[in-house]
Formats: sequence, C-alpha cells, structure tokens
Amino acid sequence: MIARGGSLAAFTVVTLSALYITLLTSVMSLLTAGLVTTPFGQGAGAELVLGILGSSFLIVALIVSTVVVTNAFALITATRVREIALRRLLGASARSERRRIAAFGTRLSLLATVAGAALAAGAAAIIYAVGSGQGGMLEGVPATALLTPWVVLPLAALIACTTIAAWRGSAAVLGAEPVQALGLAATQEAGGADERRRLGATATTLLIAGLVILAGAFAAGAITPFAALIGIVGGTVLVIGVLAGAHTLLPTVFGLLSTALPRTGPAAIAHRTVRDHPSRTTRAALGVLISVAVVTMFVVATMSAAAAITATYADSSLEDQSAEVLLVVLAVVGALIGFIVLIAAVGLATTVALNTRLRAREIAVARILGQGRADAARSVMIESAILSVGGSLAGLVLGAFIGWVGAQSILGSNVVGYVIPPVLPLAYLALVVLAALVLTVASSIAPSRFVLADSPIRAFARA
Amino acid sequence: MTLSDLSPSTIVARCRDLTRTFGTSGAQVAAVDSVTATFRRGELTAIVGPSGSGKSTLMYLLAGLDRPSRGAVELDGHTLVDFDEGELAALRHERMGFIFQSFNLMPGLTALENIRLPETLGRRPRERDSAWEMSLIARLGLEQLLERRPHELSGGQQQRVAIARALAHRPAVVFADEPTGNLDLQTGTDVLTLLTELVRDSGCGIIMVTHDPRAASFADRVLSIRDGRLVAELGRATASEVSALMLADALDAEVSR
Repeated sequence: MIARGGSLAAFTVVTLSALYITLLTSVMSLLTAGLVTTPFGQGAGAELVLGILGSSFLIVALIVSTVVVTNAFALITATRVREIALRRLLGASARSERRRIAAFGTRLSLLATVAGAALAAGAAAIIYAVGSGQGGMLEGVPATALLTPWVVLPLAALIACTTIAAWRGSAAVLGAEPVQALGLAATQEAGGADERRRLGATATTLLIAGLVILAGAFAAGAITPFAALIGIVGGTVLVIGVLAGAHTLLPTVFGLLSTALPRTGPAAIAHRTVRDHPSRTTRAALGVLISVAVVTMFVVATMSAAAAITATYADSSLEDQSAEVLLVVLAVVGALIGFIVLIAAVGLATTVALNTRLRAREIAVARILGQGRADAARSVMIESAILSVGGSLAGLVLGAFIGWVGAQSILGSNVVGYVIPPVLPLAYLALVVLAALVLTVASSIAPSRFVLADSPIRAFARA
Repeated sequence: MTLSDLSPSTIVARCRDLTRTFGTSGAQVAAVDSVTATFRRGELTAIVGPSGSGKSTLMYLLAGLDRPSRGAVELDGHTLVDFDEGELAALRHERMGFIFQSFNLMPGLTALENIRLPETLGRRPRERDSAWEMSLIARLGLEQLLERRPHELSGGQQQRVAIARALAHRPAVVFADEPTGNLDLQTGTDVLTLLTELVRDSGCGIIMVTHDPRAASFADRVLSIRDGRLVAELGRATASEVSALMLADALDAEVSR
C-alpha cells in the first residue's frame, strides 16, 4: 500500500496542480478579457491587480506541488532501496538508477499534467454549458474565451518543476549500496540523522529586508494607499526569505512544540523522528505553512479592514457584519486555494508515510522490546501532529502579519488614527485548529496501518 | 532483589511438545516439530542448527513473538498461550531482553539513551535500578562511551551497549539471535565471555541461537536442532565437539534420505 503510495501521491498532486492551474488561467482569461465584471472594475489597473493576484496563486501552487512531489519521490526511492541495491549488485550504476527514477518522474508528471488539464477542460465545458444559458453569468461570451494559449506556460513550468522534484527526491539512490541486496549490511543509514543547518546569509538578509520593507509599507500606509505596492514587494521578499530559511525556522517551531510534550514514551520517539530529519519534515510542513499563510493573510486583511471601516463610519451592527464578511472571504479564498490546501495535505501524509517506512526496523525493534501496538501508532500520530500544528502555527503568524500590514498599507490613510488594529477572528482560529487536527488524523491512518500490519517479528524480517 | 531471585524454582522457561507449522493443509511444513525443553536460571543455553533448521522459529515461539500450532510455552511462570498480544508485549517488556545479530540500536540516541530506551516503551514506566545499571556499564566497559551515538561505536561496542540494554531491567530470560554473527573473531570471543559472566551475575537465563560451533562452545548447554526437531543435547562442549555433533546430524540426514 505504501509502496504504491509515493507514485499515487505524486500523480494526485501533479493532476490537482494541473487542474488548478488550467482552471485559474481560464478564469483569469475571462476576467481580463473584460467579458465578466469584476469587483476591481475595468481597465488597465484592474488587469494589473488581477495579473499579480493570479500569478502569485500560480507560483504558490507550483512551489507547493514541487515541495510535495520531492517528498513523494523520496518515498518512492525509499520503498525501492532493496530493488535498486539488487540492480546495482548486478551491475547498474547509481547514476543510471537515479536517471531511471527521474525519467519515471518525467513520464508521471507529463501524464498527470495531461490528465489534470483534461479534467479542467471538462469542468470548464460544464461551467460554460451552465453559465452561458439565458441570464447566466457567461451569457453571450464565446466558448473560445475560456481557452488561452498562455496556459501552456504554467503547465510547462509544472512539468519542469516536478521533474526537478523527482530528481531531487531520488537522491537516496546514491546511498543504496549494492551489498544491501545481500541483506548483510545493517540498514542504520536509513535512520541516520540529517545534518542540522544554520540560517543562511541569504535567508537572513531576505527576512530582514522583507520586515524592513513591510515596516515602510506600514508607515507609508498612513499617508497613501499606494503603500500597498511597497507592501506587495515587502511581503514577497519576506515569503521568499521564509522559504529559503524554512529548514532552520520550521525545525525551531517543531522543537518549541515538542517542549510541551512529555519527554518519554511515544511522544519522545515522535519528537526524535522530527528532530533527526529536518529537511524532510520541513518540506512536509512547508505546504501546510504556505496554505495557512495565504488564507490567513486574506482573512486578517479583510477583517481588519472591515473592522476599521465600520469603526470609522460608526456602524452599529458591527458583529453581524463581521461574521458575514468572514464567511464571504473564506468562501472566495477557499475556492481560490482549496486545491493548494488539498495538495499540502497529501504532502504531509506522504512525509509521515516516508518517515514511518524508513523507521520500519526501529519500530519493529521497539515492538520486540515490548512496545504495544497502541503506543507504536501513537508515536506516528504525534509526529504528524507536530508537523501539521507546527506548519499551521507558522503559517498563521506569517499570514496574519502580512495581512495586517496589507490592510494598513491600503486603508491606513482613510481611517481615524491612521493605524488599523489587527483582527484575527476566534472563529477562524478554531477553524484552523480543527483543520490541523483533521489533517493529523487523516495523514497518520495509512502509516499506522503499515506499522501494525504484521507481527513484530515479521515486520522486523521485512524491514 | 527481584522476583526471580526469590523464586525457589530455577526454571525460567520451558516448552512442551512445541510445534509450529507453516503452509496450508495440503503442503504443510513443520518449522518446529514437537520440541520439549527446559531452560534454567544462571545458564547460557545455545540452540544450534544449520540454516532453516527452525532454531530461530523456536526462539520466536519461546519469546512469544510467534504463536505455536501445538504445544505450550511457560516463561517465568506464565503460560504464554493464555496471553493476548498486549500482554505478551508487556511480558517482553518486563521479563525478557533481546540481543540481535545487527545490534539494532536506535541511531538517533546516545549509548546511554539506548540502554534506557526500554524503560519508557511499555505501558507502565519501568523503575530504574541505578546500582545495577552502573555495575553493568562498568562490567561492559562502556563508561567512556555513554554519550556516543551508535555510528560512532565499533561493532563490538554496539553489541555491548545492546547487552546492557537487554539486561538493565534484570529480565528472567535474554534471547540472543546470532549475537556474534556480525563481529570478528576476537570481538565475538569478548562478547561471549561477557555473556557467560553476566548470565551468572544477573541470575537470568540466556537462550542463544547460533549456527557457529565456536560460539556454542561458550554455552553451559547445547541443544541441536535439525528439521525442526530436537536431535541432541550436550553439556559444556568444545567447538570441535559441537562441530562433530552438527556434522553427525548432517550425515544422519543424508543417510536417512
């Protein structure tokens, strides 16, 4: 089940991304063609805003799927170590083996991209059939407006990104020594720790620069709405900084979370697994971080802005309105990035599966030494909880900060006191917590089954 | 003092008519066939036999890691067939220790953390017997190595850490599966000498599975297994005696075919 899980995860992720990218591009082409009215009005300015928004969503989708596919291919490689070792024993070189997996990655991403694009075309056809009727939103719009040749660009980028991801993910091939096929070598290296890395100069510079520019946007927001442009630059720089420094920042978050857990039993094992594999676990939580950050950014920006405007214009029914605004924002943003959230979830599940797979022998030994089934499953679930809660928390902080600065930079000059207080609705926080819990349980089900499928001694013999 | 020290019986484990068959009724193979044996406190027992003789399966059955098709195992006064999986795990946790051919230390933990790892694995946290732990560490020569990770230790050092892990909780029985299989001759001899000393000091029984006559020569008792059956039993024996025994078994097998 897990052996096929890697390919399945990679295929699902690339298909979803292609579907998302194609739909998004179609919608953008409709909107920018001026055929459908937008809340941003008409003209060059609206087109620019739409272009920036649309491309940033495309880029987010590309980043998240690349990260997830990298881990999926690490899982595929891990499940094939014995087979690869045998082929190497019979004379294949590590490089040719790696190229084989990368070629598989290219084939898979081509196939999945075509599948995703076809699904999107089908969906667009249905939407058009429904919407082009009398009184529909697309009435009078030619069917060709849904198709744009530009869609080829992001789809090609997707194929390129996933191919690179397959290549990077298959790096473990180089560690599959031919002797492993003989079953003699102790497979210690599979559980060996990655090197811990410090925050690089690039990441530090980007983070500081991003914060400084955002601070500038914040201040400028009290004077002019054009501060939003500075804000976009600052936000982008900060996010790139977070991406560059994620392999240091996220493990720190995981470490802080783990201090709240008991030092013994399943929690200690889960903590150790997360700590010893910073690159893998970082990639896992990065998808979650980005999705939560994007949603939070919109929620905080809109809610803060709405609250400030209502306060300025002294409206009495503030609470009713804010709940309504929150729902609308969540619906719109949810529709925009729902796919990305789904991809991130697949990514987390893949990583937990990969960690469990690589620790199969360790888990079997612990069970031989007397660890019960429930505790073995619990350690998998706690590991997945650290990752999903850590990713969500980091995403909340990042998204809330950028969202708040965004609201301030656009509207600061229009409100009383020139400063917009940040608003993070409790209902939304509860929603994020709930989502993290669901994600934790969902992503640990398959790996737990894998852990518990066999008796300890059979699991030991197979590992 | 632990229970086993107070117990009047010196028997730590025994099995009766123990049989384990694999496959369906059409093509059944008995990996272990009607084995009856007794294992005592303070005694190192070697189970020897060629590959596929069923010696590992016998060990798994004795440790409650596999269920017999017929017969019964009694370990430290408990009848294993009455136990469900969780209870077996708890029994392994509290009354058994394990030493593997490939050491199987946790790579992320230091030597000391590895020795203490089983304390937190079970349902109930285990009390630490600090004096015994310290004496074990001293006897195994691990004082200077406690902060090292497994990859910073030699094979012999890793196996000594594994022995400390297996004995730290004063188990009734320690199972050792080819403990010298991955060690060179001299290191293997050192490890076996330590096992023969510790089996007396700790009051547990050690059951060692091996196909190496030289390793078996360190045992107080040698049980020879072929085709799942117990075919011979020796007291203390030299390596050449064990070799001769195994060779004779093999010749018998050839003749009977």
